[in-house]
Amino acid sequence: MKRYLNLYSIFFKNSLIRMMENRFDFLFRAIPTTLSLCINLLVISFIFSKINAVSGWNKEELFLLLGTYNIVWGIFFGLFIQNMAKINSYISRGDLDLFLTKPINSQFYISIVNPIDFGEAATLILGLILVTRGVSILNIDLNLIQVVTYVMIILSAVTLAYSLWFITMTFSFWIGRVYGLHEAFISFFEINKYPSDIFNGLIKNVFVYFLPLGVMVTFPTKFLLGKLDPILMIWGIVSGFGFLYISHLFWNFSLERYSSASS
Amino acid sequence: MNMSVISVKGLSKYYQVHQKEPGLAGSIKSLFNRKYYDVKAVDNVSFEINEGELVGFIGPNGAGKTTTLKTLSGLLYPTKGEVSVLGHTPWKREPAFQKQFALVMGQKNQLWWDLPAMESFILNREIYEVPKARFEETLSELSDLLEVQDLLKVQVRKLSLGERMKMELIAALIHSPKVLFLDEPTIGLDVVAQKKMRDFIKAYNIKYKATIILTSHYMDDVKELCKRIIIIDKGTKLFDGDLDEIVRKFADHKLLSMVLDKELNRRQIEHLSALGGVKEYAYPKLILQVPRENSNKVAAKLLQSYPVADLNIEESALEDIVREVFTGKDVA
Amino acid sequence: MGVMRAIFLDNLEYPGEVFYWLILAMIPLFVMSYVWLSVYRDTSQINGFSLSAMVTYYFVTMIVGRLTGHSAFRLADMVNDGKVSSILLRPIGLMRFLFFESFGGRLINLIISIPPIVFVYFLIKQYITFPQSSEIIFQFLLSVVGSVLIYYSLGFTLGLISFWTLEIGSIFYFYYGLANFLGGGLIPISFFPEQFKQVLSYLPFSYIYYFPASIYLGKMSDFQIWTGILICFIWVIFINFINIKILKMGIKKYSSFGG
Repeated sequence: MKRYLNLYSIFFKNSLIRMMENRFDFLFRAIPTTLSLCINLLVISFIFSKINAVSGWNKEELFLLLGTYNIVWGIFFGLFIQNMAKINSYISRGDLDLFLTKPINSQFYISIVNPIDFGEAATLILGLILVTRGVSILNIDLNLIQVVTYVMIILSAVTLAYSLWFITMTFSFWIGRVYGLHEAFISFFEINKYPSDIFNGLIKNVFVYFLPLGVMVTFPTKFLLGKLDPILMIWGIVSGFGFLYISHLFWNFSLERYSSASS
Repeated sequence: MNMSVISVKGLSKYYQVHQKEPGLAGSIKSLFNRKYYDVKAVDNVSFEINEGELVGFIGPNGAGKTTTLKTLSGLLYPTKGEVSVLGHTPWKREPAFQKQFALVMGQKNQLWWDLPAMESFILNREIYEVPKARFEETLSELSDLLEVQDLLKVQVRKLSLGERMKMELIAALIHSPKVLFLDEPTIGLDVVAQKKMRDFIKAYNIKYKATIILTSHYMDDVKELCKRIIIIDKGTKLFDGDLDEIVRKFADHKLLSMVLDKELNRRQIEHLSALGGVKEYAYPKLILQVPRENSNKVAAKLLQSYPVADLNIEESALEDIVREVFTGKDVA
Repeated sequence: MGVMRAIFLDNLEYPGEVFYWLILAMIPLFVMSYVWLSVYRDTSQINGFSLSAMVTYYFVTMIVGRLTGHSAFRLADMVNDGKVSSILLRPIGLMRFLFFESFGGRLINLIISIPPIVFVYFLIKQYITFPQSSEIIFQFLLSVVGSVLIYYSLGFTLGLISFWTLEIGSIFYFYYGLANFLGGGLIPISFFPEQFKQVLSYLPFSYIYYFPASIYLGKMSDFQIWTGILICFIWVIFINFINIKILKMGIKKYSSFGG
């Protein structure tokens, strides 16, 4: 365990060095992020110029949700996007082999081998600003424990996002080179821009329990609003680690098959 | 007596490929009913390699060289057979095993572009858990050998192609592996770089007594580096022995390499084909390929009736010999 | 035709791939339908849109989106690989070639998407409306042509930047987001505040999604439709006029480097 922490700190340090090299790149990235955020804010405002509530959520609450969305996005994409985008090509082009000969867990390695994208820090910061603003406008009182819990739920959300994405990417072993896997996942992720309450019945259950996308952003926000059922909160945290374990199993299973079936 | 470091017994690797008929109808059919056929990538291959040996695997593309190497590296599970490298079963991928070997494949890059190569070395040190002292020692030895001591702190993207290649090598070898698998190490390199690579491999083998298997389809790699070669074609082992033995055993032709002092007339040229195969004729150079047993007789005849200024009897080119081996000669 | 067949076969080789692309396009439709569904629980008309109109709006937008495309990356690749010189002599020829290449691909895209689109249609049949007259259908199709041309032409303008700089990938994230938003792809433009609407009326974006979808929904008068189509095509001509000029400048700069 300690060894993996050491390893990760080296990757982290290397990513930092690399970011220093590309300083302007980093600042540049803030621009499309801000634009994206503005568009999302405007769309919500426009909807609310004519109506008052969406599934029981008012405008400020939706802004709060958007803030949490940006926080989760910023952390998840910042840490993993450079890696996720390449997994498919590593597998289909055989570069994976070089990872497999190293005495290091291949899932871990393939998830962090490429640098952290510090450009996404802009998304994270904007998200934090939105959330802070939302908390104050909605007069939400938070004590330290609650803040810590919020952070934990967010980290669990990031773990969940990572696991779901990793599972999707592991399908590369089975279906070969796939373009647009990356974009497809982002599209799915964007479902989180709106509260999972907009869905009802079967679909809601799918998104909350089965493919728990809905858990990622709606749950932490509901927690802030004091609307999160404690049992659901536990599910939120558990599902993060549960899916991590599933991703581990699926990866190893796929690797086994790859090693026996390929040439 | 040397313990064998690499032991392969009856290694076989078969896999299924799905068969698709061409055309639109074929594509749709294959969506519903996939037909497979067996490919024998490696079929009943056995050999033993001792410590410090530098062995060359040669064979045409798709012969099974890379598959064998990948099995030895633990990347593939065999269909049949036993394999042991340094006392370990490779595909168990035990860290203790992985820390002792290195697989280097052609031109694959591992170094981070924007960082000095040194950072990548430190990363590998951590991955392979190399003790600091040994790391420093290996690093200085390798960088001396490759003459890149001053470039360690330079960003990889600022290095020339040759320098980058050297850094990739150091990164791959920083954990001083005892066993090296080199898959097409000189592919894509210019002549100068190829020679440097070969010199390095030779030096590494001698200095560290590393056991090295290299695959290549450049005969020059093999000629210069390997005393022992294993020829693999269509998944089977055709030959396993010393380079000289191949020449002695399979070369049934010799080359008569001549310098002429007068151009040949038409009748003389026609008559040449009765004596042997003309391998090259570009005045004043003439190379004739003749059966081994006849080489002395033919040489005498040429000296008698042809305007030969100088004549040398040489062994056939290794490439030609090997090619003959592939085209189904008796391998007894 | 041979090219199309090859692309089709290529897609069959990886059924998973085709599947993913389609899911991608369906998701915004899916999400926004649910958003509006929940909003419409308490009311039947918002801003002149009934729930059916709203869902149909996104449905039509999605289908039009299957046809809109651009060649900017193709152009950038050609510039970077030095292939522009081969068709260099006739800029208009180059533009025409690239357009048909792009449009051909998008057409196939649409055709392959038909089964899932039909499937989705049956799922939300109760919300989907159809135009009342064939005249509207004709006007709608004309406006779709306009939409494809405008989206393509604007994309081409951005692609021309590749003659002067390498980094056009990031610029395109702007374009997609902006064109989608300003084009009415995320929310109908009638929801925008007045000043915003005013400014947009002087820009070509609304012709990408909002204009065709509004025609389809019967929200526009004949007069509005025909003037709109006219303005749309004037935009197309104007933008391409600029494109030709910039392309010529780019070619000149390009060959001055001894290409």
